[in-house]
Amino acid sequence: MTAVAGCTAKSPTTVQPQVTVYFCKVGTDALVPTPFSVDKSLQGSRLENALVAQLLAGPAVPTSTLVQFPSGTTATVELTGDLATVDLNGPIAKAYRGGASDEVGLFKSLTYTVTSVSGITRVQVTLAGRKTPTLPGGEFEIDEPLTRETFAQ
Amino acid sequence: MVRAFARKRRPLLALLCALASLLVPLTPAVALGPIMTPTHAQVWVLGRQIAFAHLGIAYGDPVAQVDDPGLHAMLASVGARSSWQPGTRFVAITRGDGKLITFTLGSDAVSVDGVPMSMPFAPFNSGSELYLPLLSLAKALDLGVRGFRGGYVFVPQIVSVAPRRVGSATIVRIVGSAPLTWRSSYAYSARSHTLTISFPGFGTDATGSQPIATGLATASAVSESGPPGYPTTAVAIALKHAATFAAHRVGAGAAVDLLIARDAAQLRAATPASTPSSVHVAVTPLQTPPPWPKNTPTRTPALPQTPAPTPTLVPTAANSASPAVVPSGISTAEPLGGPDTSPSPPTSSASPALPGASMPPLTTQKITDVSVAETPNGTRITLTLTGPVAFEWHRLGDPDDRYWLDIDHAVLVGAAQTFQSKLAFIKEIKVSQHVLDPDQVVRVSITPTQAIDVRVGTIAGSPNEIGIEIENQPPDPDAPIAGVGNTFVTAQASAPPQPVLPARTDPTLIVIDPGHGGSDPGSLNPAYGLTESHITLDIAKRLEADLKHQGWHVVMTRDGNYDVGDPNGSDAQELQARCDVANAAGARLFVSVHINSSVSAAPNGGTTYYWHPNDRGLAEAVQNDMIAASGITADGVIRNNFYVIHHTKMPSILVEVAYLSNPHDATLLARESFLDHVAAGIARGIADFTGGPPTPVGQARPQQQSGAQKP
Repeated sequence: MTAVAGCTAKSPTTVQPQVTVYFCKVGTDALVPTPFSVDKSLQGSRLENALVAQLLAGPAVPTSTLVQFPSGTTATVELTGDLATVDLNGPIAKAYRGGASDEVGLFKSLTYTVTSVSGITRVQVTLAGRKTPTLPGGEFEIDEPLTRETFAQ
Repeated sequence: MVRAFARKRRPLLALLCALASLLVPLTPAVALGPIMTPTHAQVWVLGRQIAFAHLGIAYGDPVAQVDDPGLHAMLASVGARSSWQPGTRFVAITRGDGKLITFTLGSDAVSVDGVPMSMPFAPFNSGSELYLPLLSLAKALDLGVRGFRGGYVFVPQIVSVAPRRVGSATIVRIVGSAPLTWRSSYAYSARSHTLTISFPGFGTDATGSQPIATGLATASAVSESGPPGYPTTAVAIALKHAATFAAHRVGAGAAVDLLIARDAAQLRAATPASTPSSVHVAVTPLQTPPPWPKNTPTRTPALPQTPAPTPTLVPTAANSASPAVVPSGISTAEPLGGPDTSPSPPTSSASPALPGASMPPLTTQKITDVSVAETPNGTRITLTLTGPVAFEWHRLGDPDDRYWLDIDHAVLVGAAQTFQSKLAFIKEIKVSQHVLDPDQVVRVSITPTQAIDVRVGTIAGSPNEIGIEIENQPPDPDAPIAGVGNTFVTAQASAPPQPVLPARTDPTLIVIDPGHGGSDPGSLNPAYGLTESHITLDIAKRLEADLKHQGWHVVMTRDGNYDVGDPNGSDAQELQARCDVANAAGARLFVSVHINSSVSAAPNGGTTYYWHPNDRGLAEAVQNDMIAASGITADGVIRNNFYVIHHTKMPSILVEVAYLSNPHDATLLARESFLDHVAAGIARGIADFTGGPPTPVGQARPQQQSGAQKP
């Protein structure tokens, strides 16, 4: 009786879901998985939008060792089946003056982050609402959905 | 980097030139110019190729002798001419509308109507000749510059559209940068009236629409369409209600006044009294053009599927002035072409009015052969011509889906031909003499059973053949519905609707693609004065020399600082234009040269990328030899989906030589010896992978044992 009463007096510990945002090291294609806790109410596209927002915001501790999206980049994510459409806006949609390795790193980190959510395997990138072959001034092709296999060597 | 250093020397060079010009009389023996290399780059203006006697490259840009016949021809084609006396410092260029451009030897500022405009470098003497920077001249003349296959396409511009009200009429003045030729059309429905005047061969930066608060017109819209090398700019005027109009050439012809009035009486009242009687005037009476499909001529009877041998059909009369419908009281010296968008009436010409001073009419050509052959995805129609022609194509939307192509100034040898395809999605293909008198127009009409995608262009290596490829798929929703092209400018190959069709592989040919350039400088390192597009071009030129030394034929996607495609085009068009160069040439290998960069200064080294798995061997060979020759840190051979190595149809690699953002690498990139070694290493890797170019039977292979012989 006492034991039962004691148990009911305490609130059960809430386990927050863990999600992973992947950042990419500069000059390599190595990913740095960074776990985050999110409220369990975040599901589907809301969860994806939160993940991508975290990716765009960069790591908690600023560093120059990780590839990061240009400051001012924003994104919205919509889900259709196993496909996530990530629409990028801001400076990256207008001109890209970075190098090829950073460019690949950006999309690899985005793809791994978005596909870390169960059921999502493909990422279609659009720029300001339009599907385009590459970033403006870029080389890496983004007009077809990206998957983790896209980056397999 | 050579380019970067050269630019730093320019102030000193300009000063030396200026001092020399002041202190001593200029003599032909004085050579004050930079290092200049001859080039075989080609130049086109208004769809015509201009032959230069001595075109050179200085500081990466084209330069021309001031007395080169090609320069005179180029200027004449835009209504301008030059004036220069040997031994003097000034070159004056005047255009028919009074525009005055003055170049001064040694000064990097050109005067345009008295206003100084800076140039990348000054006119200079080389030997006894004075050279002018061609791109700066084009800019001063308001010509658009569009690069293509190492050449330059100069496109006159529509520079302004300005409406004003005169009495009850509206006058829209349209100003171009060369004598204008135009077509006009008038269309209306129950709720709208639109007058469109279009200028073949003219581009514009003034696209967009603006309201008009005068008289009959409510708005104007300016748009550009067609291939970038020979675009058409259209000015559409929305009208409140039915109107009549006339077009008056202004001054020397670089401007046109479009008069719009309710009726002919108001039109006459608005016509300036000073208008000379010889002015070109056209009036389109109000009319109700029926919808296009119903207006399609169907007079050609069904004919045998295969062409029967028939006597040559030769026109009995040369071109003559077209009769035009002109209300009484309006004089006309030379009627304009009829409505350009309608396929009928048959007597209307699809050709623009051509003032002979700026663009002589094409001579009539014969179509000597028509063949239809199946392709993996559809059908290809091939027309064999006796010479260059211009053509215009139209695509009808759902539910008709019909497509037709009109070849101007062309005569079909033999009878009209109708082909019944075995393919279910093609109902009929017809080739016929659509109009014979006064103008000769041959029409290719394709009637499908469903939406089709059609590409038209010259066949690579066969400038006198037009290829029309039909595929069983709907066109892109935003694909153009009409356009023009010709067989003597293929600059528009990179962009629809005039793609280059595939050619056979040339086993001796390598295409080098210097990354970025023109409107896209690529990555920058201002601290070291480095620009990616300059370095890639520098390395590419060294590589070109090394590969030629091995015995290869080499084509560069660009050999100066310009866009390969349309500078105003999309990035996709630019990248595709580079692929088109290699695909059309049937290259054996494609090598794209880039310089890497990162947000961090830490990454360094060279990387070679490939996409198609079979290309890994080439990538490894090039990477290994480049590392060995240059000493750059090895950063790996990596598979990645970069556009140009994905969309080229031959073994392709993309070399990221080093990191512009890394201080050590940047120091190396600033050294000519390093660039030399990088180029030699890439060339050696190609030699190792391929064994060198094939040797013609009976000939010894030129020194290509192990790549370039570099010190």
